[in-house]
Amino acid sequence: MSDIVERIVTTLSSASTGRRLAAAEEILAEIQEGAPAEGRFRRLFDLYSQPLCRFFARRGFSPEDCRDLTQEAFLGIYSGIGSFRREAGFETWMWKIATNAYRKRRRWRAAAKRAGPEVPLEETVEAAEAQAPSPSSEDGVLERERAGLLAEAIRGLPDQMRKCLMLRVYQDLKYREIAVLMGLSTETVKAHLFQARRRLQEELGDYFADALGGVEAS
Amino acid sequence: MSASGRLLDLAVSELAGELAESPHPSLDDLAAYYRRSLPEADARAVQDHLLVCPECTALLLDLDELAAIGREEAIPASPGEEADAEWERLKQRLEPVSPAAPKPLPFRARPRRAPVWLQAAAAALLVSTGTLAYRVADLRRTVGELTAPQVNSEIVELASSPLRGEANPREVRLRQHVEQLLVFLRTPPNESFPAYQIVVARSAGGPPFSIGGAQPDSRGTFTLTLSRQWIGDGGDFDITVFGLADGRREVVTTYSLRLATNATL
Repeated sequence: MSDIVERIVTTLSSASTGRRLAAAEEILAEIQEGAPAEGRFRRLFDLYSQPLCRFFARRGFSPEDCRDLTQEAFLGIYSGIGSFRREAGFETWMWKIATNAYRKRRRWRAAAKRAGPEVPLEETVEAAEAQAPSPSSEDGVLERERAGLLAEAIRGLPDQMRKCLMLRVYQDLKYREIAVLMGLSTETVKAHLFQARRRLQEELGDYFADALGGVEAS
Repeated sequence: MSASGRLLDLAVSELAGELAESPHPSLDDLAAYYRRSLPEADARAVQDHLLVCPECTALLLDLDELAAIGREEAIPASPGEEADAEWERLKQRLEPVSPAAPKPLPFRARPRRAPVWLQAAAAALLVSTGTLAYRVADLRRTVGELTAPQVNSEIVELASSPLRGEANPREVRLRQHVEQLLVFLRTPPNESFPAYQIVVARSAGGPPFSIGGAQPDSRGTFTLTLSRQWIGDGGDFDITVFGLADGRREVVTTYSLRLATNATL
């Protein structure tokens, strides 16, 4: 009963603590300083188990795998509390644990799949070729030449502008994702992509306008 | 894909090909890049790699997502049967120890950071101890990865097969002020299991100490913490690492350890 009362009290106080991360780091500090672990670890579990489960779900894992992976992550946290360094950041630490957990699960699943029925290689090659019509050799040469000109023009863009464009095209990332990778605001990314399209059009003319049409699509 | 779309893809792919050879950054470097704490040259190298590596890009976006979770209001999960059931399932995997045995403490009160001279003395003592000379580079890396050097901890690294010239079982003498023993268990390459269990048992018998849900680090090394209280007067110990999968439990590797304390000197 006292454990339930403690949980209710600390649940109410956590709501006024502010951010989830601050609450988690406070819990870890208390445990590291020798406070009884179980109740506090339950609080940490209550704070992060559902968000972590949703995190794994967004990576394509089944509900059952998500629950297992959440358990694995918390076991990793529990076994490592003694050596956790606060300056490294709880979110970074949890990220490493969660990443290792789902990478292992993916490797395990991949190993299990390799035991499945095999598809003849010829069939997969034929299927891939059926989807990709190849241009004629003349068209191919012209296409490569145009692509080379476009590449040269992109190479001449300012550094951040070029990188934003590459992330947009090569990895098909959204503005927000490019902003995270580049350490920029979303608005700056949008501006870079807009400017990149404008500069390349100015340099290459309307002949390449179609090729740049997808750059700014959100 | 339209011809125009393919043109842009070809152009960007040509540029990406110039960056394709850079190695994957470590998780630590990715985290430092995210926090903007890498030196400029290193940050640039990581950024160039991210341009062309969807895998590392996904990892960084994962970190950002978890950071966003951390910035949310600290509203705990709604209590309910499912949450309680998951917690009970987790509890069962957290070091089941017989009530009759001294309860080992997986984490102790963090000691105050020792003076620099004492840290240096502790590091020098570690390097000069035993037959670890041929593994100094590994041990220095391992020590560097620990939290603040804990002078009340002893560290021992075990391999599953004793190395030439090394005693079997491995003998460790705990100094008087040592409160915990950190044991690094190096495992040979093995089948990857989703979870592992480490069982430590006295060779002479008695209730074992078990850790469920253990995970190795990227080098396949497990870290085990044994408190002075649990070690007691020392003795011979057998350590077994089990792999857990689909309800089965398989022995991955075993180790032997002989601990001597003041009582057994």
